[in-house]
Amino acid sequence: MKYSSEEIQKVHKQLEADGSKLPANEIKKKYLSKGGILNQLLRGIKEVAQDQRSQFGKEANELKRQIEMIVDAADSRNRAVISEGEKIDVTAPFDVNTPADKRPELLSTSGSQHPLTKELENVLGVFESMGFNIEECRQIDNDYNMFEALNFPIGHPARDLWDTFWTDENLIPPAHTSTMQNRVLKKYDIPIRVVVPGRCFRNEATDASHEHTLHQIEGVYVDENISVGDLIGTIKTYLEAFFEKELKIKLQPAYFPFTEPDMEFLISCPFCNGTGCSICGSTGWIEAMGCGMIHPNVLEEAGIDSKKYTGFAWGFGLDRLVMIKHGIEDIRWLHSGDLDFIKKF
Amino acid sequence: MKISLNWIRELTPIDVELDEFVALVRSKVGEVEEVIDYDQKYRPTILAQIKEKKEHPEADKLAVYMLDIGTPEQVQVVAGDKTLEVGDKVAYFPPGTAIPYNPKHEPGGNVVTKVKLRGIESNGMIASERELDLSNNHEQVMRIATDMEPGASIADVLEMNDVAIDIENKALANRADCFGIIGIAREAAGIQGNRFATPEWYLDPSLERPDTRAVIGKLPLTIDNLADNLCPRYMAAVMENIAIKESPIWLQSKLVKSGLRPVNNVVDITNYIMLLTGQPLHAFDYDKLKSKDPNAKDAAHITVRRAEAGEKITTLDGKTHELNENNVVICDSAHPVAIGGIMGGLDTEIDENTKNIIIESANFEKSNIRKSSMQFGLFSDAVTRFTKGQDPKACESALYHCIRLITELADGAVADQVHDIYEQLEEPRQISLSLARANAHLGTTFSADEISQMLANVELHNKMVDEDQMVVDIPTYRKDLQIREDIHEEIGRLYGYNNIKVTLPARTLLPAKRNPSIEAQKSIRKALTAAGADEILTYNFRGADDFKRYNQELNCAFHIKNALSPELEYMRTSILPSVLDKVALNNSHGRGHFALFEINKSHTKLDIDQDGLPVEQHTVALAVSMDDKSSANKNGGSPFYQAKKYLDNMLQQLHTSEHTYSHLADTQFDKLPIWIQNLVPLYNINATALLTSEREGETFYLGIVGDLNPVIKMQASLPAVSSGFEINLHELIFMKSSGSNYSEPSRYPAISEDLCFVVDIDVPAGHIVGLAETALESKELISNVEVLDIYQSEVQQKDGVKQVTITVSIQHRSKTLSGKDVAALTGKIADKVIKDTGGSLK
Repeated sequence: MKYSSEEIQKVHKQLEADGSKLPANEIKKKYLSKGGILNQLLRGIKEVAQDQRSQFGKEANELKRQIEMIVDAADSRNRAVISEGEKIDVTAPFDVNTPADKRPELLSTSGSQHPLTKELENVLGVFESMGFNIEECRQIDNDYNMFEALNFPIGHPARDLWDTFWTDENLIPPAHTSTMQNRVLKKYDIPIRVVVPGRCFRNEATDASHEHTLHQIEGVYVDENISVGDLIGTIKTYLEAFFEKELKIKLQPAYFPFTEPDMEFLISCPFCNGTGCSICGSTGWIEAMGCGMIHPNVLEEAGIDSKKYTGFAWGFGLDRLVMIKHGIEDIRWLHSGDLDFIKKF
Repeated sequence: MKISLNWIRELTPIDVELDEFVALVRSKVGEVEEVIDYDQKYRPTILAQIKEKKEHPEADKLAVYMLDIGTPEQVQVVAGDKTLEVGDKVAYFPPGTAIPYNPKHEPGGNVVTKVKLRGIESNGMIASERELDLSNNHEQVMRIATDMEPGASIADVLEMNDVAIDIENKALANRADCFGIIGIAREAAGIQGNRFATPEWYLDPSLERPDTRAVIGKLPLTIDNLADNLCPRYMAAVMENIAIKESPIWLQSKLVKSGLRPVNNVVDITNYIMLLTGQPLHAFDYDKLKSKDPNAKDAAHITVRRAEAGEKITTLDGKTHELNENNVVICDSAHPVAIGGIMGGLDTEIDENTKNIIIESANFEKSNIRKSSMQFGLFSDAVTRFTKGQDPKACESALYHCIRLITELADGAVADQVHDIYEQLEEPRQISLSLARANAHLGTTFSADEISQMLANVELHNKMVDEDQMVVDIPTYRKDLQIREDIHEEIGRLYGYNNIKVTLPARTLLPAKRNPSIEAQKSIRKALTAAGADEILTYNFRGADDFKRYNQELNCAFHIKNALSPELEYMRTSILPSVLDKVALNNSHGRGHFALFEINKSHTKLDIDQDGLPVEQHTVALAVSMDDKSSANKNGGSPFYQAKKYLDNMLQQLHTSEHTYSHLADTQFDKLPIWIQNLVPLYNINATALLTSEREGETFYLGIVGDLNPVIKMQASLPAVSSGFEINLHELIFMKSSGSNYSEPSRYPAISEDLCFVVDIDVPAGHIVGLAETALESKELISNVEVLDIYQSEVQQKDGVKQVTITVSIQHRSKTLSGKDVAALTGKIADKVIKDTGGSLK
């Protein structure tokens, strides 16, 4: 509800703030009592220009009705169930006595799919074509899967690198999709080829380039005689299929407790073909993902004979990919739910 | 971590150009975040000598100096520092010089210009240490003690003719040895294919071990280590007759280039040793320690122990911390004087009057350091190193090297025995390696010689025991090397992953199995976006206020104990409230008629699986909304039907099997799944349906759809015409028919008939449709039944009845239906409906 009078709008704003904080009787006292805010507001009608007084009165009454409703609702908040009007026929496609031209219709223009899920579908499509199964990631997990099964014993300092959230019960909204690795290794028969898309959570203050809620895609490959060369080849093949062009690649050593050896995978910037642009920060290179050969402790923990089998795993973020692909400058748009943003896709 | 390349060169050559060296570090050690060219920064600044000093005729606080800058002509500058004397050497910024101090990283920095100060020309500036970006001292112009002649560049005078590279700490998280220049130099040699040799004094502590026989007990110290495994080794030495002064240029320069600020010679030397070896040292003022100890008589005393709860210490940064049993403290006989491995105490700080010192060289357990450092929010250079796991063996050589330097640079002398307390030190280990396996793991074809050399270059000495097996000696400082795969990594890294031949796994042609959840989500997105709904994503995290706004129970939501803010403190128990928040947002932005949906997961503490983890409810939530304008003058009936329209459409697009809408008001809430119970308060239950399906005689709950609770609408600033649903994805997948819905179309015309029934107000229209469908069920017929109209006149309202008109379309598979045929069929429908509902045909 928007009020034309500034004063009423102000009280409305204050009410919105108070509504979630104050108990009902306090709100009643503050707004509806004799010296309360509403009566003060009504007394102010003298200051309102003659031609706006009727509108002012109407709006003030509307506000009063709202306050009364809040008070009533709050009074009965514990009685969670609220009903209004007659019981309707829930099997019918429209209400009784609805004229043909007033019946519910679907919107006539088509809606937009979120750019993250759209990109996710693309990525998963490529992996499926390469023979990878898909396993979805949990959104609350335990210490065992998030850390212990991945060769991060309790007290391991590398745990800090993951900026984890914890619930009171010491459960974890996972900070990486690797939280599914142990389950995937146990669930599938060798050869294992699985990708795990999921939502991840990092205890990191939000700004234009940082989000506490992120999307990652994990990959796991286990078979006999799998080598670092295979790791590089598989990821390169995926990236070239995804970007639909040939890419130059570069690897840098990295450190993850659950892989050995471990590395950072870089690709020539697909947007400027490595010549340097704003997307790659003029370096010509983009960090595509962290990856490595699965640590034997991780394989053994999942009951896989690490003498016989080797494998690799990777994890990459989807959000930044989507941002650079579309030129989105502020990551916070992704979870804004703002149609001004969504409708652009 | 900033690494001076000249410092590296003191230990091992760098044979390649800078760019190539940086590329090698990136590809074989870790990310280089910055290359800092100190030479460029200091090259334009010139060493000058004061030749003449004059009063400023117009200003008491200024002096005028004539400088020799190595050119035939002297240069006149005006300065605020009047304490300079003829003969002093200073740093001179000629006009046009960018001042090195540039804390805000302004492009180009602050450039010196020729100015007149109170009428007197100043051709440039003479610099303070702060302007030179060497320390925070800005009270005085910096005096430079050097034999170099005026005119020399400050880059050469201050040994800043150097480049530093800043390597990302994260890449070295398991490389404790790389937090010292010796370790990095070893890598520098290894990545260039050069052989490295660690300095002898580091490998063999006996080479620099001081002879203390004559001085034992001069300044006595006693030590107790009660911290057991939290402090595996504690060494300390007492030194007397220290002359606290400025460090020599070479030492200050090394600290500055490593990102540290010089303090005084003793502190600088301990920092220097830390930078060089990775072993943090700490110096205490011996006399302060002794004099503040209530029990000290002749000797100073140190106890290493766990803190007692409630003990306090003020650290060197001036902050006071309350300690507990999880912290290790260094104490005199009564009070903490340092937080072990983290930071020293202010009370025993080295200052300009310090005469006698205790140098501590100790080892602390890494996870305890990590926890304590987080507890205090203290992240010192010592913490950075100890949390990686330093080698207790290094304590000894680091301490002796420190003693040697303090003797040389601070005139100190050892004044007691060197104390050394430890239980047991780790011995060098060996790792056995199969070369065939290493090559298979890496995808390489190295010979034994090639591998042997690569490893030996970084002092991983090795020998072959047979054709395939190699034994590698692991120095104690390489704690990262535990299993043979770690050696594989070492080989791959030193060779360069970029040089490994790219291959693809030899694989079977097993196709991927489609994931039903992913496929269902795709279909839902397709169906809903085609119907005009927009997909959004919102946070799992919500605030207590959000739960209150939607009348939802907070106690069953998971609480995040280290949440970023109160607004993000709980995990949501339903998706729909988040979607409704975005309805309010977009409505306030003037979007008239729109629908939003999200497919995501929610959790509740009341629904836990056998592993103790919450069952994840994967649902699709949709809300449809019309503002007052879009719905103005529209007698559209209950908003319920808006949401149901979307739901019906979605179910139809997904080809789901039979499902039932029943009135939520007629349901016993506590029989519903918890996640649905959590949603009930959002709805106006007189206009809300529960969606169920039957499978093998059991009822499955898909979710609820309905008009929103008017109070919620108000509290959440939602338009009056807003409704929504939340449906379980898992149940939807079960309902998706696996086979095809195809039935052969008929070649004969379809006949349409409308039938209008007057029935009791409580008879659901859907029931009449169902009866008609049953009546028409036949292999020979293709039929479709829809509700055409539902009407109630005022009279009918009083009588408690309504009229429902259905339209029936019938086709026969093998003939054209005659009027008689149709009449028979509609008659069958009418009979069935009238018999079942007690209504009548109008």
